[in-house]
This record gives sequence, structure tokens and C-alpha cells, in this order.
Amino acid sequence: MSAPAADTPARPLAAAHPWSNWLIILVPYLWLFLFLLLPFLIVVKLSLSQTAVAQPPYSPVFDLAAGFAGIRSFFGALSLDNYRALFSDSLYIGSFLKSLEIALISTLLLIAAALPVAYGMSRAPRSWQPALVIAVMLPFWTAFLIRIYAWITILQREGLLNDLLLALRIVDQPVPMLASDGAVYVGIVYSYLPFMVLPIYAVLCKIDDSLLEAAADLGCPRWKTFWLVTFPLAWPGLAAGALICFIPIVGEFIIPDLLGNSRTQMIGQTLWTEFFANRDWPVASALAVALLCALLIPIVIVQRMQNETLGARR
Amino acid sequence: MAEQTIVSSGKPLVRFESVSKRFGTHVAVENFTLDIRRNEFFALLGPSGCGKTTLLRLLAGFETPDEGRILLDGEDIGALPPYLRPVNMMFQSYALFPHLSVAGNVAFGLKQEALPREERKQRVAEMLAMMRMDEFADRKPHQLSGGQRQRVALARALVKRPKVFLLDEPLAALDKKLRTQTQLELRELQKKLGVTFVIVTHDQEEAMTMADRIAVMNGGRLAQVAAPREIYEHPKSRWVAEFVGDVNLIEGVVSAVDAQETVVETAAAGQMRVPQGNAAHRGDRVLVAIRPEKVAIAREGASAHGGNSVSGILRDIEYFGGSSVYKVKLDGPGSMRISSVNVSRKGETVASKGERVTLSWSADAAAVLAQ
Repeated sequence: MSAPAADTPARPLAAAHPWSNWLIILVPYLWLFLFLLLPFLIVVKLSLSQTAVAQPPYSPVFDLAAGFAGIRSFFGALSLDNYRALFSDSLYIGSFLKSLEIALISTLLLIAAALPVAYGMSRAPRSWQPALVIAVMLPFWTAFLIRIYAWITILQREGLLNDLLLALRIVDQPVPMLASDGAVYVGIVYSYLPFMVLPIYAVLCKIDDSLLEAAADLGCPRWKTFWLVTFPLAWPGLAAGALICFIPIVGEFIIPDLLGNSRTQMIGQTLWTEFFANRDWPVASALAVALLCALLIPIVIVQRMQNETLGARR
Repeated sequence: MAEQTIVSSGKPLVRFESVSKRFGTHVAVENFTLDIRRNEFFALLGPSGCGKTTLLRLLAGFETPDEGRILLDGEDIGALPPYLRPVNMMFQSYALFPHLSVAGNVAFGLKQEALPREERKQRVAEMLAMMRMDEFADRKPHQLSGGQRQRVALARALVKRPKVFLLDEPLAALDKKLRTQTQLELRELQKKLGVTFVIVTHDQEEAMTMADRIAVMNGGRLAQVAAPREIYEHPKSRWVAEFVGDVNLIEGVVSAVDAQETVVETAAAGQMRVPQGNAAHRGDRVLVAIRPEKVAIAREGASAHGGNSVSGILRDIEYFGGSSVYKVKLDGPGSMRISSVNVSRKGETVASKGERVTLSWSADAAAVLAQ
């Protein structure tokens, strides 16, 4: 048996056009290099610089004309002062922890809201399902910012919700709802729901009906089947959805800025303040780098868990 | 009607009483009545879409009958949900839980019963040992071969000690060699456990080898229910004769009937004598059914044996190794297929293509069927 020879026809493209395959791989990497890695390196460099009252408001500037001495003075001027500043001021730690708290609670709320929706969608007649998927994505047809503004008109003191509660005589005074953590949660869960529903739905609709029948056959009532079979099999979708939501929520800026109060700042708002209000680019950059490093941890964890479950499913 | 008079001792374990089931306008099962006896290996045989799987799903509780009753041990189980029925099923796809290990899959059903932990563990271990899967207890289903998965599926259902064990096309996913071996194993398993097995299959050979009795189904109705030999040798209708095995059908008219024999005048083979079986009357237009292996083939002129004979020209020979099938164009209208065991290793055949041959069979080799 000449096994290696028999293997080659399996990937005829790779054998015939190796350079074109490389080109296909090169395009996204070039894109990522130009628009992600390069800007990130600039941010890293900024974070190691000193604040200066200048335009742009930092030093040093790398000067190629100065030759080797220029490079030496460039590295000599780099400092970790900005990172020390992050840990010395409770403002940064506080807003970072606040962001994690909001992101964690929002993610749990999102799972609780998305799981029944996705489950219902996956159990719906096959012919309805495409329409249901479109319905979940329908909010994207309106600009994100406008949808958040809409929540202001709903939640404000003379807003729709208070009008309704007053009309139904559930309350006799308008309830302050805007500018609270609650409003932020409402805004976040509303905005991110499709990102949680779709990955869970994608996993649930792939679960073979015969597995649920087998569970029933073996003595499992429906609700128990959900916890013993459906939920564990939906786990990869839950993990993917949680990751897709958790990370951008930690850095969320617009929702807490428009719906939250000014006392509790999320890390995105702190970053914005440092960058635009205080014009402290180096500290803002240090904050951005620290945030990114912190967020790599959950990404790696979920990725590993997902690889395990994916391996088990094949 | 002969087999209907065989009354089983005691009441049947499962009884379908005039059961009908429709899906929209499609009638899956119609006015279906059938008894399945205790401890028998029972096969539901039929082409796809004949309603055999619906019948199995009705028994498992995944479907509810539109009309009629389903009795298990004399009790109407029509309204019981699947998780309360003392019936377990092996799915065609096996439906093993991918997130659980082999042992986890087998223990799944027992965990739904209030069993002491020790007893549960012991029963799982016993079942895994019986299925020779004990060394794979910690594997996940995706790490197993097709045959191993099938044994896990068997173990998972049988560990529940069901009153009736349902198997939906259990061998469809296996290759031919493993299939034959598994047929025997399933049969041994059934005898050993003494559990009633109800198997659904479209493969008549599979049903023949394994089952004590077979229900042949067609278009949601029962065509015949009997032991394999009875079904093969005494089919009740043309449809059953053609579905189960190969058959030659010769048209004719009944010319005489007495206590032993029916005489049929045929255009193809002249006068044929058939033993009295299915009731036929003088003047009836009937079919004479003869299985290909019941006919002897010889060069014309060689001494014929048996009560009936007919001549023709050998048109084609299909060689299958162990046997060959000869296609003979009869002197009258029509043609016949004859199957003959290749006893000799030498290349000689009974006759060559184009040669004239004589076909002969004994009087009791054929049966009369309604047209």
C-alpha cells in the first residue's frame, strides 16, 4: 500500500497552487497587521511615554535621523510609570472592577434571556425558523445609537414606561429609572441579546431529535431532559455567546454613558475621559493595554473549554 | 387464515386493537390489529413507508393512536408518555448521548429510577460485561466503532429490563459482515434474556434469520403474520410472495379442485398441479407461485422428475458463486427464473445460453394465489 501517494489527491488545490493558498492566508493577516497589530504597537509605545503639554500631548518621538543615539535615547525615555499610575489610583481599579461586575451580571442575564428564546426557535417548525432568525437580527437594521436614545425616552422621568405605570395606577409617582445601573443592564441586555441568541440557537438546532426521544424513552420527563441532555449539548453555544458578549461589554462606552449615572464609571468611560478630557494619552494607552491583557484570560479559558467539547462532539 | 387459528397460550403481551394513525392526509397505519406474544422475537417487515416504524413509535409512546387501543399486559398504554412506559427502544441512529461516557449512557436510564447507587453501578457493570464493552466504559461515543456504538445502545436500553424491547432498523448502519454476525448475537441475546424483542426492518433476510414470527406490512395494513417458513412457503397474497424472496408467477384458470390438489390450466406451462392450500374454486383466475430454487433445470431430453414440467430456451445465466440463476424463456408466453446450487467446482453448467431446456418441479413445490 502506497499510502502517501494515495493521500495527495485529497488536497489537489494545495498541491497545484501552493502560492495561491499562501496569498489567501496572507490577505487577512496583512489586514490584521495593518489595522490591528500596528495600531496596537503604537498604543503600547504611547503607554510607555511621558505626558507632555504639547501637540500631540506626549514624548518622546522616535527620531530616525538621530541614528543609533536616537534609538538609545528612545528606549531610555520609555518608562512603566503610567502602569504604576494605574495601580496607585483607585479610580482605575474601581472602574475596571465595576466593568467586570457589569459585564458578568449582564452576561448571566443574557444567558437567562437568550436560552428560552433560542430553545423556542430551535423547537419551532423548520419552515418558520429562517423568519425567526431574521426577527432576532431585525434590530440591527436601526443604528445602535438611535436604539439607545430610544431607551432614554422610554426610561426617563416623563418617559413611556413611567406614563404607562402611572396610567395603570401601579405607581403614583414617576419612578426614577434612567441614570442607574438598572438602566445600563436593560440597555446592555437589549443590545447584546442577538449575539447571545444566535450561537445558542445554532447549537440547539443541531441537536438530533432522537437524543431527546431517547431520553424520554429511558424515563426522563421533558424538563429533566432539558437539563440532562439539551443544556449540556448547548454548552459550546453558551460559551461562544458569553465570550462574544462579555468582552465588548467590559469595554462598553455608549450604553453606560447614555443610560448610566456619572458616579459609577465603566473602564471605557474612564479611558475616554483620560484620552479626551484629561488629554493624558500615555495613561489612557496604558489603561487600554492593561484592559486587553486582562481580557485575554477569559478568551483563552473559553477557547480551551470549547476545544474540549468540540472534540467530544465529533 | 390458517395461522390466525393458532392461539397462543395465555394473553398476548402486546395487542394492537384496530389502531389507526394519520399524519395530515397521509395514513401511516390503518385499522391495524396484531398480537405479539410474550418472549418472542417479533419482526415488523415491509418496504419504506409501510407504517412499520410508526407502529414501533406508537408502542414506544412517541406517537399516540388516532383510533384504537394499544394494550401492554392487558393495560391500555395509549395515553402513557414514553417516560412512563416499561418499554425501551434502540434507535436506528443509536442516539447515544455524545456528552456522556459509555458507562454514563448505560446508567442514564437507571438514574431516572429510584435505585440504590450500588445496585445501579452493579447493573451497569453487568450489562457492559455482557456486551463486552466493560473496557470501554470511560470512552465517549465518538471514540467507538459502529459495532461498539450499537452494543452500547443495546446495553443502554436493556439495562432498564423492559417488558418489550424495540429495535428500529438495528443493523442498518453496520457493514454486511458485521450485520450477519450481529443477527445471530441479537437472537442469542433475546433467548438468553427472555425479553420480548420487536424489530423493524425492511430486509426480509434479516427478519427471516432472527424472528420467531414476522408481520409483513404494506401501505399501513397487515399483509400476513406468521413464522418465517410459513411466510416464505405459504404466502397469502401475490404481494407477500413477491416481497419476501424471489418468485415465479404463472397466470392460469382453475379447471379442477379436489381434496388434495388444484389443477390450473396455464398458457405458459400447460396444466399444472398444485397442492390444496389457499382456497380456489373452479373457474377462478389465479396465479401459480413457484420459488426459483424449487425448480430443477436440465437439457431437454434428460429425464424430468416431479409432477410438472415445461420447456423453454435458456436466455441468461447469473453467476453468484454459491449458486446461479438461470433465466428461461418458456415456449408459451412468459419466462421463469431458476436458481440452482453450484455443486461442482468445474466450469460446466447445466446448459449453455440458447440451448433448449426442460424445467420440472414436484406437485407440492407450487402454491395458488389470488390474482
